[in-house]
Amino acid sequence: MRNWSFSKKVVLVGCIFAATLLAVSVAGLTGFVRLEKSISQFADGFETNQLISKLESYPKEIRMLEAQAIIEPSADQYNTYIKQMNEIFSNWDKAISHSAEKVQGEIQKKNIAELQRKVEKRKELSERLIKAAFESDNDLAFGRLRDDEAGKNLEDKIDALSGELGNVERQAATLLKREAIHLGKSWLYWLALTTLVGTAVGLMLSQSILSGLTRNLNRIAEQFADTLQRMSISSHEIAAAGLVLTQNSTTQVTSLEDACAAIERLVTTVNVHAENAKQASNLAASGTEHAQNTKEILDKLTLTLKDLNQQNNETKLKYKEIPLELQAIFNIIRAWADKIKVIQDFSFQTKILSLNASAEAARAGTQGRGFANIADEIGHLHQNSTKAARELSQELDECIRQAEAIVQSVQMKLETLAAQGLDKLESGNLLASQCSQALTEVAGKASHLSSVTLGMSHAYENQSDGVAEISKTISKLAWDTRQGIAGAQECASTAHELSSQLDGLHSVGKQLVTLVKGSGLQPKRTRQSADENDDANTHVDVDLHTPTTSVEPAVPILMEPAAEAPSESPSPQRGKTVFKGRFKKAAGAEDMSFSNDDVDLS
Amino acid sequence: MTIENRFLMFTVAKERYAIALSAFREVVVEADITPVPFAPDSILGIMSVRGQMISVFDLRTRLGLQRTEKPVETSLLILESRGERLAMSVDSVENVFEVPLEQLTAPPAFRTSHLNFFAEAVTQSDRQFIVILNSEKLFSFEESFVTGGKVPLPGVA
Amino acid sequence: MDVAELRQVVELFAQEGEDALAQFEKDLHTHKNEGGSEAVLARMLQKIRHIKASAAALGFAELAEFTQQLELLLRAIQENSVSSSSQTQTLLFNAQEFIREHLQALRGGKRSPGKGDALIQAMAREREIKKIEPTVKLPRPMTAGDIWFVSDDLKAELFEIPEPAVSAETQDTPPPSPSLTAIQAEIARLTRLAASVNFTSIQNAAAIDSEMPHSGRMKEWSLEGLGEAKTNDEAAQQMGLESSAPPTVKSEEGQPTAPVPASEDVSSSQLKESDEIDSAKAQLQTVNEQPAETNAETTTTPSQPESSLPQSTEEKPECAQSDTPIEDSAEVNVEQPLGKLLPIPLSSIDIAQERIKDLIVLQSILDEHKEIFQTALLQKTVAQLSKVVQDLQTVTGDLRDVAVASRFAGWKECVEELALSQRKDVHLKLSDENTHLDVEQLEQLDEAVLAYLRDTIESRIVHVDESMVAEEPRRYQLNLSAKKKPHATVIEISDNVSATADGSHQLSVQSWTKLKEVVSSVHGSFEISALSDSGTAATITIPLKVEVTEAWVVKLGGERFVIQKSKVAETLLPENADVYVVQGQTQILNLRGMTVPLLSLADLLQKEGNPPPSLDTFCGVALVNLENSRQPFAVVVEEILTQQKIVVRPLGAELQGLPGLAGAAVLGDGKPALILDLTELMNAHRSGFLIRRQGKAA
Repeated sequence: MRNWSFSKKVVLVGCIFAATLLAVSVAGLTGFVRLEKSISQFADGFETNQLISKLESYPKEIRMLEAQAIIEPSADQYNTYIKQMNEIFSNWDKAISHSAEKVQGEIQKKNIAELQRKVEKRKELSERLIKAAFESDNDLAFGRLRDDEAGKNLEDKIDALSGELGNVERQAATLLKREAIHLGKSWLYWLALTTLVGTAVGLMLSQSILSGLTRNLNRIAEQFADTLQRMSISSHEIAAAGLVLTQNSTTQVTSLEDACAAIERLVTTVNVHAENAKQASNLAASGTEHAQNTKEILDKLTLTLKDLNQQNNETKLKYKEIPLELQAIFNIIRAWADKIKVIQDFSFQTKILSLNASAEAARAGTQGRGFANIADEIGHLHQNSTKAARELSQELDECIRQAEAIVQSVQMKLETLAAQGLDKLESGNLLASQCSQALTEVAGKASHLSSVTLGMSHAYENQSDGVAEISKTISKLAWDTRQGIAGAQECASTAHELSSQLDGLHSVGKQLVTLVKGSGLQPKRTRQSADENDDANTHVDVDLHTPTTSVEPAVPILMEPAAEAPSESPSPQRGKTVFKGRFKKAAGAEDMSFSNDDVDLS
Repeated sequence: MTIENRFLMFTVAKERYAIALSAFREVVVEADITPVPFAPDSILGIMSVRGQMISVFDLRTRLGLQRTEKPVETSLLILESRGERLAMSVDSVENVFEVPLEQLTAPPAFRTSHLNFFAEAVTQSDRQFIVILNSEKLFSFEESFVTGGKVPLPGVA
Repeated sequence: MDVAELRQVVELFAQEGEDALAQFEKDLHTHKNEGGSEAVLARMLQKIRHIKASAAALGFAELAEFTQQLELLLRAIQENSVSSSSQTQTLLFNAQEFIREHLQALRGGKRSPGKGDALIQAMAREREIKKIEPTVKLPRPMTAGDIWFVSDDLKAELFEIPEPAVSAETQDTPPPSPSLTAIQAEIARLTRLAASVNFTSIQNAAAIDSEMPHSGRMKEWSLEGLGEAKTNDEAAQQMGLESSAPPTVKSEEGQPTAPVPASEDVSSSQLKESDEIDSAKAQLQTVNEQPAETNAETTTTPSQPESSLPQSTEEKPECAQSDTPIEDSAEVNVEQPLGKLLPIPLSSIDIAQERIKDLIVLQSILDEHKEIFQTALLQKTVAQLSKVVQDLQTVTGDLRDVAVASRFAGWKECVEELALSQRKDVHLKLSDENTHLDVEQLEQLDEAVLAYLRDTIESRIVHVDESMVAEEPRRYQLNLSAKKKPHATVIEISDNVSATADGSHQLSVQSWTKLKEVVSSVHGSFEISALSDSGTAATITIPLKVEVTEAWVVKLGGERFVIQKSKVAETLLPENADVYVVQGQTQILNLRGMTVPLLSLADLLQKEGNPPPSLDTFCGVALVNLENSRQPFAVVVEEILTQQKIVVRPLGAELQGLPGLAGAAVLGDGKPALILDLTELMNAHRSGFLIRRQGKAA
């Protein structure tokens, strides 16, 4: 080829170069197209994944919202709840319709349509539930919560859908893997080619082309990483939320159980009280009856006594009249005596006068004789009147004495007579009446007590019923809550699964980003480093040479940086451990199997 | 009828006594008697009769009888002798009677020296035994006359 | 029965009757002006019956008959059987006038005879009933013993009387020179009041004369003459003249009808006592105007021609008039025309004084019921009344006082006579003869002093003479003097008869004890002391005859006692801090640094059951007695009730000689209370009288 002219040579070289360039550009273009395609597929798969997580999160959100609405049915938040609910449902709807675009196949479409219907139904239920919660119709709310079969179905559907979607994703991922491998291979081919064609041209070209390409790729990778990151965070959040929900539910259950126990004790006590009250009531009733009986007897007795007494009194009154009449006579006599006393006084005065007069007369001597006669006369008068008065008074005194004696004797007799009978009668009467009174009181009190205890007993029974009802309700509630917890646990485990999957994805994404960034930012260097690291990374060579198995070792290689990942994203890891600790039986074994499965799957 | 043979009869301790009407001034039935400290036992006190202070003595005590706590009907006889007046507490005052002086007899010997001292004469009226007392002696009475002992008068320096 | 007593009785009847009549007239006016209410008529009837009863009792048949008719007429009016027309009214007035005339006639006034019969007939006609012949002829003359009727209600009198007094009293407000007429009117009213009280307050009011034991005194008076000539003829002359003057039925009294100008001013209703006082005053005044004129006056003797009672003639010693107190001249109107000198019967003064005493008692009653006098006018009136009473008291008290000169002169005569008969050169010198002394006290002293003087001359001088026979006969001088001291009059009899060597007086025990007794009977003291210039002095202290005095009424264990204010220096409420107990029992009061023994009145009176005042329960009022100059002391009483004027009444003979009792007084409520002489009580306490008494009681 020495003969070839330079121009020829140049033209040849130019032609060769141009052809190479063309070939390279074609190859590059093809590769690029492929790459772009696989990347879009990958992005698609990613999107699906995101969709699944979203779909899975919605029922949980709704449940949380419902639970919140039931727990905190504050009136001012009603609208907020409804709004949130509507938002969630619209998102859900959007997600479903979005996923409907993603899935192909009639069955899937049908499933999605069914899902959409179920979601619709669920929305209705939620609305009613929230409404019920706000109308304090807890029974209904709880009932609704408990009877949320639709929700369950929905979840099933969602699970199914997510399974499908997972398949899509898995397909996408496989595709992506395959594409990536393919791309790697073609990349290697073309690398050799371009190495062969001309480093400079290639360099220049790749420099110019790849710069734009890598820039684009880089951006995508970053976006991807970012999305992954965010997805991971949100999945963690979901897991956390599920955890919190579970936790809350558990607490609720515990307290509910405590309440149940307390109420049961209460029921027992109330029953005992009711029993006691019933007994007391019975006793009181019997007491009242007894008292009533005794009182009746006593009343009869009292009546008899009263009759007797009245008769006696009548007699007594009659007897008393006699002394009264006597007294009247007596008084008249006494009045006479008083009058006689006046006469006597008068007589006494006369006497004094006559005496004084006679003294004066005597002193007057003979001259006073006439006067002395008068004085004497007065004296006689006085004597006569005194005598008469005295006699009269004596007679009267006698009269009075006799009358008094009669009156006294009669009175005495009567009194003794009456007093003997009467005293006894009166005392008996008094006693009977006292007794009767006391018994009446007792009976009254007893009947009152009886009624009170009866009322109490009724009240206790009512209370007991009420308590039993409450107890039942609470047990139901507890059961429901337990159910809810199971759901929540499931949800949490799902979330956890998702989360671990995402973790995996995340590390893959990271590797990718590293890869992309590394090659994208410094392609030459990458290249050089790849060259330089050829010795060190013999596996690569091996990998390259054994493409079928290359995936196997590629994963550990790819996974190696993931070992360093915990430092960058420790929260999912920690959440996992916490999760494991708390829900060993729910998640512990499955976790491992899941990851194994995952590995197996991939 | 002269004043000499007229007498006022009264009773003390159910016994009848009399006093010459000439010595008698009036009867007072109700009076406030104010007791006098240091006075002899027989002096009940003083009373005011129209402004004049008259000593009141208890005849019962003077006759050596027990002084009753409260007589049923006490009359005070106001006696007068030579311008002096005295009130005498008796159980009851009876009447004025007239008896001829010749029917008066000398008093017998009584058991009590007091009565012996005072009695002037005795008489009978309506078949009742009456001791006529000497009014002068009632006035000039001192315990010593009866008891014979000398009662020292207060030694007023 | 004394003529004087009878006179008194009639006098009182007239007085009562006029009082009743005055009331009757008043009621009659009311009856006429306002139409007769039952009460007024009943009162009128009561008055007339009152007069009728008295008249009948006293034996004034005419008056009794007349009043009987009047009573019948009044009854008819009361029963409305006779309408009380103006004619009836006039008749009643005439009847009343007639009774008044009649009553005045009893006291010596004149009355038209025959008028009564005409009136009786008129009254009978008025009743359209035939005139009833007097059926009851009471034996006459009646005695005074029948006036026991009860006159008007005491209270009605008490509260009616002060009112008319107002006008009279307001007239004589300047007390130093009250017009005579005013005083006269006053006396009339007051005496009437006194009389009415005297008659009404006590049942069976006895004749007032019995309260005035002046008859005995009158006899004494007649003995007092001591050789003075009795002028019986004058008395008889006057008496005859007077007894002929009233030609009426019964001239109860030979009233001096000499023209006393003052008595003409006095209304006809003037009472007897006031008449006498008036005349006494008139007399005083004349005496004052003619002090040199000393007449032996003969008192008119109450005589009753019909009765055969012996006339008792009395003589008034000249000295009684000659030295009337000068102070009195201020109280009587000097410008009164000269009246005939009239003697004052001591009995009249006594009566007046008794009335005044009654007034004072009344006043204390009024004081007791001060709250009744709610109006200022009444209170003022009562206050004035008390002043007037006081004036009256002074006046009448002074009337009793006489100068000792009269007796002194008698004594001097006696002494000279005796000396002459015993031929001893004894001279009695008199000094301060014009000192006044209560006439009664002077009388009481008279005999004893005379005996003492006689004893001095007879026994002591003889004795001395014998012992000094060697020396020249000695002229003995006796001094008799009287001095006025506040609250007391001191008569001193001193001589220059030397005492014996042992200092004992040679007086016979009899005269000495007699004088001492007499002096103590007038509550005086008697001391004999040896003079430095070998002589003896006998001092007789006679307290003023205080009959009305201011005093505290104190309470002790439910009883009341009277303690004269003049004998108490001060009253105080002792504090516990001022009282100390010495030797467990004796209590000492610290009185402004002076220690005085403190005694309980209960202790002094030996009241049993009254515990001695203890320091813990110290209460009561102490009366500090400073009268006893030897040692003051304080007496604790329970309480001082009031302070009032009291009339000292002597205790009866039975209670004489009891220590510390100065008499008795009637308190406002009419009850008597004893007047205590704390000094004497204290003396008795000290001398252990009480212990002896207790021993006797045991």
